[in-house]
Amino acid sequence: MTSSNLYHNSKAQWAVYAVFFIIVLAVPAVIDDSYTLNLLATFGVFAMLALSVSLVWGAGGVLTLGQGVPFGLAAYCMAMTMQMQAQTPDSPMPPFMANNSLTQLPLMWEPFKSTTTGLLIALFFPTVLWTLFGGLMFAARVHGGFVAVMTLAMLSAIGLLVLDIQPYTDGANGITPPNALLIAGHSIDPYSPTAYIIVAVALVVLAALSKALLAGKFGLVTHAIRTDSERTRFLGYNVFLYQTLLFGIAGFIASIAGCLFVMLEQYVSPAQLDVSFSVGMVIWTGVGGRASLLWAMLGALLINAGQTVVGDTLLNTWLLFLGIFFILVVRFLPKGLAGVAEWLVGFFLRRRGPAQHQAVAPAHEGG
Amino acid sequence: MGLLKITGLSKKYGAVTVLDGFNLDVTECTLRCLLGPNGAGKTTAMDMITGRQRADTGSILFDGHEIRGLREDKIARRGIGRKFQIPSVIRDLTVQENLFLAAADEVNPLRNMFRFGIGRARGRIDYVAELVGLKTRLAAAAGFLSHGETQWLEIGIVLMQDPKLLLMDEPAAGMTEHEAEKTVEIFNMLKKTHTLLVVEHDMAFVRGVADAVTVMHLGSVLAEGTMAEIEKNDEVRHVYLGTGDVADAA
Ligand SMILES: Nc1ncnc2c1ncn2[C@@H]1O[C@H](COP(=O)(O)OP(=O)(O)OP(=O)(O)O)[C@@H](O)[C@H]1O
Ligand SMILES: [Mg+2]
Repeated sequence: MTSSNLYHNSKAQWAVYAVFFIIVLAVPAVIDDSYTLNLLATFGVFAMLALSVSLVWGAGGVLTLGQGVPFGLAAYCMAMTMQMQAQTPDSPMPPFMANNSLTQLPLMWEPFKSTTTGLLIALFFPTVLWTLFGGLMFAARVHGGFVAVMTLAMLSAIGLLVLDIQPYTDGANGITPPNALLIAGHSIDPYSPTAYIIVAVALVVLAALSKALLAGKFGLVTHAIRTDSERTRFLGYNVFLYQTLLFGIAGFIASIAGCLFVMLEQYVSPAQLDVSFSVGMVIWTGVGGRASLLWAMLGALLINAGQTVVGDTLLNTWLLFLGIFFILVVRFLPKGLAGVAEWLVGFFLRRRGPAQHQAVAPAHEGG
Repeated sequence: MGLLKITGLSKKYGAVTVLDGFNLDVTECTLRCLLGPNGAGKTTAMDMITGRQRADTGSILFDGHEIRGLREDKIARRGIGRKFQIPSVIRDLTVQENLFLAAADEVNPLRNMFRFGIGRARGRIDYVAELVGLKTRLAAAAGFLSHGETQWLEIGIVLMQDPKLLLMDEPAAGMTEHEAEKTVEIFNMLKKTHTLLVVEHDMAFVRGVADAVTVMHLGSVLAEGTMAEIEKNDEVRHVYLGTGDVADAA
């Protein structure tokens, strides 16, 4: 890392991440309005999604428009688990099923009777499915825009399927578990500081691990694959394994986000599998800066905060504005807000770094 | 028996025959040059050896084992390193990062998740950087290197892999005379311990390094021998545009 710009200094980057982590974790000490806390926790879930998109798109170089697949499937599994927590031997079946003329609990709901099994399925079934799907694509050396198209197709297919099997998923209505998540006898009130802290800790841990992942040799190989996957093969690396693993890790992060989302919202619907939601994740990531995990997360936080401030009445205007802004970012600011930060840090702190005229190299680990 | 033994290799792209019963035998710890006019199929032959393209028929024995049809990374791990005709260093990484990347002693992605810092590759990076004259440029972004330096970095990347067989596609292209001379020295040192197959149009360079020469034309072998023998060969002269002198062909 030779850049004189402090922005690329690995220690400085970790320091900035540390500040971000502390702020995220300290929020409940400052804010005690439970509604706001729940809202911020939901933003944390969105930041997790941006983190996962940033890994695949920013670090891996393949655009995913289907990140809603692991997210949405995990959310459904989580909602099924929480729904079954409310069922008793007297009423073994969620009420909506009777309305859809089912007479007994369908087989696919059986495993969710156990909370542990339900949670394991929620975390790992979407991850495994997504990893296999990624593996199929990368084995066929699909890349560039084709990954975007295929992930999008997968998302649409799963969204339709969930709508289609109404007796099992309650179709467009979605699933609304009546009670908060029960874990080992504790009820996790979505509006409590506990719920916030669970999300915040998950976000901090996942972000730190992702950052470390990209800082090591794995990250260097990933950088090489993004730049020239063919060249990387001739160095002896199995590009397919690296790509699939990164894709799977991002799927796992999205699955965790899906579980936490339902913990906070007590609700899931096909909206979580909607194309516009997954495209939204890409917009948060792109505006923040896809090459930077931190800025991708900040993009998600800023845009969602903005959306809340603007409110429902102006929502369409806001979305239009956001769309235009995204186009401007893609056209003029390919590194997103991270690029602005990079420039500002370089501009104001130039004289502090050692003067090196030979090279200003963007580090392989983004900001 | 040679380290690399190619027999009857053929490849067609549609109706175009690019390789036509191509044979090649490269002896251990020698440097063989592969010559031929533009479009003769030299780069394609390297594509076949390294698995970048699949041959239609023929056999490629490396160290006594058939490697035809293996995946690129598997062939690389058997001990074949390649420098590309068009330099393909990772421009936004530093020279050091490019070399560290090529230090592919560990390719398992799970294990590489837990490898931070250069660690045990340090010694080899310094050795290779010294050898190719980039010791003082380790911290520079590869995109900022001069043309000759980029070629050396490419060579360095291949050396980092420490392959048994080094394939060099036009290593001296674009180098100054001085740089080319230094590359000749490096290659002459390398062939004491490694086996090399070099494609080069610069005849002075070939004279400086080649133990043996194979001349290709239209996808098959036209002539084989020492450089002195090749330069006297009428057919070879004719193929090189009838200039009467192989040296002018470049
Ligand atoms: N993928 C491809 N599809 C079709 N034709 C190809 C392909 N790759 C190479 N060729 C053709 O094969 C022939 C041999 O090309 P090759 O690059 O091997 O030549 P070369 O001997 O390396 O030439 P040069 O000295 O110019 O590098 C050329 O006529 C080229 O157009
Ligand atoms: Mg060529």
